[in-house]
Amino acid sequence: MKVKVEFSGGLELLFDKATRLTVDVDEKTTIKDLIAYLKQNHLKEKPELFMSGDSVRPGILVLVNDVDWELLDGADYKVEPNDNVVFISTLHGG
Amino acid sequence: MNGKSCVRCGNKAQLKRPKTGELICKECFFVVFETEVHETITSSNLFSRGERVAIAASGGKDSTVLAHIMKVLNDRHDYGLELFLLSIDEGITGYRDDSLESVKRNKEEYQLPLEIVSYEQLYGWTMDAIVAQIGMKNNCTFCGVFRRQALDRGCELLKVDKMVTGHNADDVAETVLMNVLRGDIARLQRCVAIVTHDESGGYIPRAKPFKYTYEKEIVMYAYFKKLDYFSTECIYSPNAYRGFARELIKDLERVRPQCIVDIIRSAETFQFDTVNIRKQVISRCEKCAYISSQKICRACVFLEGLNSGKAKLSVFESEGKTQKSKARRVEEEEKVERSKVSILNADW
Amino acid sequence: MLNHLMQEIVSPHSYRTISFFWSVLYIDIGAAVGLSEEERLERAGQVRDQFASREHGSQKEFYIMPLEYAFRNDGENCVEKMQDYLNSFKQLSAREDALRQLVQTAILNFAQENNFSNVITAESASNLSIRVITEICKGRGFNIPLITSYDDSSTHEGVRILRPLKDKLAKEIAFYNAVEKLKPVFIPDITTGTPLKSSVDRLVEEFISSLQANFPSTVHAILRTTEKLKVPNMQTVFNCVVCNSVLTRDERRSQEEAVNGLHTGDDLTNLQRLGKMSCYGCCRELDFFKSSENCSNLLSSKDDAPQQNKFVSERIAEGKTILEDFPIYVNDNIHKLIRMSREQVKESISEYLIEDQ
Repeated sequence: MKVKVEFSGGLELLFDKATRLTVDVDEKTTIKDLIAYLKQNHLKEKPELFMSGDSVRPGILVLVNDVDWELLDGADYKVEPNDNVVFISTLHGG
Repeated sequence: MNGKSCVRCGNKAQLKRPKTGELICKECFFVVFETEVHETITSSNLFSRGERVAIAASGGKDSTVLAHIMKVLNDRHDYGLELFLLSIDEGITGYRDDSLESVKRNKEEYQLPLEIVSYEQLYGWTMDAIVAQIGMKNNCTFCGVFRRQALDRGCELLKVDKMVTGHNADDVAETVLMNVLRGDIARLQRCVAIVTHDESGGYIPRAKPFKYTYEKEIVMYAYFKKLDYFSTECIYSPNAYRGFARELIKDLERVRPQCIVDIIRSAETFQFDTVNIRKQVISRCEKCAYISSQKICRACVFLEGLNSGKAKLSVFESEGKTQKSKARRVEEEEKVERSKVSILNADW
Repeated sequence: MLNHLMQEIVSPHSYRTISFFWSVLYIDIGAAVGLSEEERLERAGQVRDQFASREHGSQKEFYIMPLEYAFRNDGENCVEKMQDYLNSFKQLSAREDALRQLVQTAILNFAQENNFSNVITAESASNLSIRVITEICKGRGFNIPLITSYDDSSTHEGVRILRPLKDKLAKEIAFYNAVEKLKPVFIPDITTGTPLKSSVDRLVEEFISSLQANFPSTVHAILRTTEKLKVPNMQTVFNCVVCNSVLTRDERRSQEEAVNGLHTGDDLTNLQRLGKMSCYGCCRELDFFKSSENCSNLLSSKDDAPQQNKFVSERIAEGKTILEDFPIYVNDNIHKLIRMSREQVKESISEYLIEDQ
């Protein structure tokens, strides 16, 4: 299934300046899986600036269809077709 | 070949000073280390001639170096102090019994009288027995309250005018950050004072001659002087106080060693609105006459709980009480915030 | 700082309902963070569009202030001068600090020169709590209440700084922007892309963000602490000549000594003297100015007397005026300080003379 992903607040720099991507992932993919997928396939440099453990670094806001992921099971949320997942760094200088 | 030379004497450098990054030889390191502590003591007028001073000695690195340096400086600069070692035996098998052995060796080496005050003689309980009853959850709270009082009792026994503790710059900087994070203004103000005392004379003044001394330098000093100390962590609380704030201090020290003293300096220049600091009303505990802001001091409350087998409850109650008395002074909203902040406390 | 300042100030709708005259100031730090001329123009354009696209945008003036303006001097390349200045701080943390000061001073100086009475910044609770801890780490604890107030009504020579977003978390602002489809312009900083544990600011930011993730009251608890501190009295012109912060009594005494010790024809400007005219924090930063990374020049244990920095002066090449390397306002501050001190002396003498007659 196809899922839209966006980066902002400086995160795009880690993804070769891509501000949006469309990725093709399996059914039942969770955000946690998606983060791992992005790291594996799209992250160009410095994974520690994007990830912490198997989640995103604290200070990075994740929105799914404009809803805070914390209201949606956080990293365990299962993405659905055409979901729009936005990663925004609220950290200084990205 | 190491061609680096000591910035002070030009001889071969043997170490890089953690505090300043200077390359220095062993002998010069001893000189600067001792001189700095001496300067702290004199510039803060920590002691007066003829005073009796207890050195709180746990057998660990800080207090061992403290005992050594107090002895050295007292002799070298003729402070005219009468020094004593004071140790607390919490009754922790495999930890305190061993560390007390190193204190006893220090007693012989420095020829200082040693007083050991034990929880068992004072309270009728060892930490081993307490942990057997209440488990590992709140044991550090018990121990902290008991130790504080035990040290004061020891000072009374020794009839000393002052007590010195081995708190170093890293400890002070960490405490500053923690108090900023918790919003504990009263403690924030107190924690950078080089001498803490109670105006009403409720307890013996406590001084920190290592307030500006880096932990790493204390370790180096002990190592190069081959001082005899005990380096095992307490078995009931491995990594106690090595929380978030400690980790930050260590990271900061790595990128910028000066941070530690700069944090202390910052806290020294804070100006406090006296309105915001709740004045503790000090009275005496009705049971044991120890200073307390409550009718019954915390140690007695804990003891009562232990003796009646309801210890877990008493920790809770005692914390609940302080919470309530605070709450009376603040608005409803702040009470909620405070209880949130205490989550922070609990974890550290 | 700057990107937060600029990218988030768009959000508060409420401001448009209050009627007062306001303009947008964009401090272009591009030259300091290695952006090309084109990239700088592109970003400035994006920021301008961001503001112009709002309903009342056309009424606002939009100013672009290149950061290197603080180094302008006849016949010299001010971009290069600024880059040299920043690069002279041989530690990332010190460079970061110097950049922050340049931005802050640029804002205040712009406001003063153009008769603005207020500056509105978009500093969030998250930024401010991080700033509080970094300033504590840098020895500037004394000035912290001025950093976090809603309205530091103690004026910077007639300019007030207002922080309407100081209660909002960075997360809330980012969420707001996302929902409102505002597209903040990302402006890199000198630490962008450097390792996590590379500077004081980065370490503290990481620390606060992780703590905040586990204990959601962290940021506000820090700010509440600062609210309980006494605000230093700002009714003085005798501030730090580098960062303009209020001096403690000790610092002021040392500044006075440095100024009074000056004789006609003296080199105003060796690093040691500059350190004496600065606050403790700036004096510490100066330790990294043109020195090697191993900080061999730090103060000894007498940290309560920071200005007794005997190491600093030794590093100055003979005959070289160190002040030429600094932003122009530092020079201006020193001259103003000297003038004020002389006037003060003159005044005290004249009073004495009148009484005597």
